[in-house]
Amino acid sequence: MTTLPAPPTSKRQLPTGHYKFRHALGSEWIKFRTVRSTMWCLGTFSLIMIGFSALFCAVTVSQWGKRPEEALTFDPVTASLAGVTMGSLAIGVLGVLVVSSEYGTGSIKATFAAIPHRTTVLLAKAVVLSISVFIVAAISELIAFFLGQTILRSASGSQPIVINGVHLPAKPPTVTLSGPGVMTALVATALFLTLLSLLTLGLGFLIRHTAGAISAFVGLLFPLFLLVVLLPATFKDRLEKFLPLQIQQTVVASKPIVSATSLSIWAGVLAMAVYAVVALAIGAVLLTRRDA
Amino acid sequence: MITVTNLTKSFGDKVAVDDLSFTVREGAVTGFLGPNGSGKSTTMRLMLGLDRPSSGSVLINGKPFHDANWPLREVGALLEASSIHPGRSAYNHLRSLAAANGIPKSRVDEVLYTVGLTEPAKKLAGGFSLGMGQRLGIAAALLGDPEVLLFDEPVNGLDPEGIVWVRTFLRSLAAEGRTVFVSSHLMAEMAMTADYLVVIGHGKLKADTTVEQFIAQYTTEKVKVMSPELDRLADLLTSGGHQLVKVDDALFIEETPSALIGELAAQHGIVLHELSPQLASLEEAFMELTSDDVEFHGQSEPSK
Repeated sequence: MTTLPAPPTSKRQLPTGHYKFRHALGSEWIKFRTVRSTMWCLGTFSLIMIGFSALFCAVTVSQWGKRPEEALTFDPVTASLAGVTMGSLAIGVLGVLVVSSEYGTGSIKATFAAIPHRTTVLLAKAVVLSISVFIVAAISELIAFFLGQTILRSASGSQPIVINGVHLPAKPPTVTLSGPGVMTALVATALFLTLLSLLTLGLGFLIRHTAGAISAFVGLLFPLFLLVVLLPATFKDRLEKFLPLQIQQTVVASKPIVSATSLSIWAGVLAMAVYAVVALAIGAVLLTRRDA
Repeated sequence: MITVTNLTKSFGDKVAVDDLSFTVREGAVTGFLGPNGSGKSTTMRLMLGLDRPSSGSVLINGKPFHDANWPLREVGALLEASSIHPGRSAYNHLRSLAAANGIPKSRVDEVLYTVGLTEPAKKLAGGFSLGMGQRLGIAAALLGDPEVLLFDEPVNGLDPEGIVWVRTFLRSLAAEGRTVFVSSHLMAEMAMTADYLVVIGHGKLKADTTVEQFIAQYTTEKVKVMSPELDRLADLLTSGGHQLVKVDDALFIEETPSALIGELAAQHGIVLHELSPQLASLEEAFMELTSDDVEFHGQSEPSK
């Protein structure tokens, strides 16, 4: 070990004013991009979003005409974004980790020693997370969309297929970015993922333990779904459409099935926004009341 | 200056900090002593607003920490070693904190140099030794060049050279006029580092004094005597009303000047092999002061 120099003796004048939201934002941005878990989660999401969607489209091409019931309701946008269900797990985990890793490692103490106003920290985290998730989701979706449409277009059928009296196009239909409902589906899906990350950020502030918060998130997305499906029809129809997994299946479609048991695309996005705001609000209240 | 007033913190039924009142002066090192589990860390967390007090208050330079305009430029804190994300480099850890209070990036390099971490700054903090982690924590505390510094057990995990460095460093910070508040469970370390002592046991204030006064008040001088005619000397001293203890081949006489013992021996023609004043260790005084309050008593012999 080398001999250490004496501390600097300069005493600085405090700058006037007060730390601002932008300081918290800058700090959170550095923290967000300097841990590997962020890259792991976003990378995993992109990989699943692009890879699984491409795989789904390739399978569709090879199986076209063999399952006419599915082919009739085929939506080329949904097919080229098929990875969103699995991908949303990685996004949800990221939202949790942004908070829970700080509690798990104790670095939350350093954070609050720099910015004692805790709600400011929560809002800064929410802004950094939501902007990052939206951008990564939008780019991944675009790649998945173009790749998916290219794969669908490569189908080689030339004769219309007729099975059991049902007429099917020779090839799976494809769409372009300017096709009806395409941009809406892409934007709504990116918003869905962004709001999902904010919902799990709120869960992170609520539960603070990585394992616990991730369990709660996965429990919210899947088991709750199974539970509602098992309810008597009257309850099921009323509740099912509000489940995140159900909303997610609506937002990725260019031709969403409009029925009493599903929300419209924008109603679905709004429902997700309500969940995110409620989770963050409860998180904020507990954050200011509890010991760090 | 830090002003602690009737500070109390309970966790359920357990009172961790019990009605503490004291002030920490500027331009001096104040040692915050207490056995493990006596409430030192909780008190420091309360000072930083990380925990909410059950009652009472802490004011730093006249206002609560929560209201600081530039928290890191006003109070620097080294908290319990584990307040660093192991997956982030030392440099990025400090940079994120600097950004939070508008502190320039150049200051990050400065404090890394000050604590001797320039070389491993780009490595992940998770790979740091305990001592390097402490240095990184100290660097974070210095980042804002603050007037008030809180150090929770700063020498934990440091090698002897590091301990000497921290001691010198704390003293120089105080010499610059800063308020330095440092906790420790090691009395001897504090006796060498601090000007003032605040001693707590079981969350209660036990002493708030200068190091000199503490030493004078809580240590008693004993004189060690060795002699081939130990028993005769012991009888003489006992009949003279002096308190003594015999340990192996030596006598320990309390509150008696060594000159008096020497003269008494000479009068009676007793040969002395040793006559030396002994200062009872500060560690003993500290243990005695807080003995009723050690959270977990070690069992020296099996209970019957």
